Amino acid sequence: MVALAMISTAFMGIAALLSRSIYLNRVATDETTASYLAAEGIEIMKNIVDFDMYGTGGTAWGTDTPVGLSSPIYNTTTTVGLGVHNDALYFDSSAGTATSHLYQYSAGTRTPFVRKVTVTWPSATEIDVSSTVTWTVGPGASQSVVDEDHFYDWY
Amino acid sequence: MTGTDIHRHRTPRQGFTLVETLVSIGIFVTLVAIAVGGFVQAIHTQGEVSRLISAQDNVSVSIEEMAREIRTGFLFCHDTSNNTIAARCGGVNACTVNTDGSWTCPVLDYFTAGGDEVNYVNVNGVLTRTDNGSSTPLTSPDVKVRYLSFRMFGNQEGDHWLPRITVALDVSPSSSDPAIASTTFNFETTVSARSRDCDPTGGTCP
Repeated sequence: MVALAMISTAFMGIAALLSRSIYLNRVATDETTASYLAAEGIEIMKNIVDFDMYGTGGTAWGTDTPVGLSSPIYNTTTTVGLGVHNDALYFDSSAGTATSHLYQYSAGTRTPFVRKVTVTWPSATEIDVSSTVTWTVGPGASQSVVDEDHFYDWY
Repeated sequence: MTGTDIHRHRTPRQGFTLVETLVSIGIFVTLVAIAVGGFVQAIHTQGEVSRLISAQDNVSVSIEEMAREIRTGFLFCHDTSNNTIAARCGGVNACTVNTDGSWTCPVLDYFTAGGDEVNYVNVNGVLTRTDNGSSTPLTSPDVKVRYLSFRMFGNQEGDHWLPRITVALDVSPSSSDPAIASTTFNFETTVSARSRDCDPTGGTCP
């Protein structure tokens, strides 16, 4: 019985360690996914800012990136009137659709990731963008990744 | 000293019975079997955890490399005849033309800032980078690429958009354990190229 108790205790420790390792790996994977989604928010906004410069000869700086909170996705071309999604992004794992294997708000399975992009204009020639992705990691617990970038009217 | 006293102080030299010995050996063997089985399972699980970590590391490195090159690249899936899906990206049979005019292709082909023609494609579960005809795997055998696509928006001259490339990459660890092998990580990121569209026929490309 003593030997059995010792072995059981040892294996409980090992099992707990491995279980914790798998859990932490899952958390790390979510962090990686979230960091790329946050970076995507920044890149989308930069793409729109650049369009406003190139598209109209530099006279429409910030037209499509007004101050405020929004939830752009991969195909967003303006955040005017876009609004913010407080619910999570969806991932469409089906094949052959316009949203296949993309994160968006219309099709697929709900993910834990909530993305919000904040635009501020500190000056007439600067647009600051902050992209935040938040996700739940357990009951009552959440994590977030925040990316920030500053765009200047250099045109 | 009586005979009874002699018997009381004699050291008993009784051995184990055959049944006691067999029971003891049985318990011992059972415990050893449990211990060995547990250790084998622990080693197996540790290997699976390593594969999960490897999958994540592979994806991080691959996406970073692609994103860095895409930012400074030009002529994304774009041939020299203007506004057509380049044959080297699979052509219209492999790419999907979306309602907003963007293309979704299984291959991303473009030119780097240095002028090298590069493409990324999923070859039998391996993310492969080809540079001027020379192919290099980016992901290790520990990882299986389940899905790879590139959504290109604004990569046509005159649309006034800088090329916007959305990378969708789904990977799983390569494992004999169905539970691990079926674990799929779905990554997505978008990169906005830093260079304006160039006109391959007008001599404006680098």
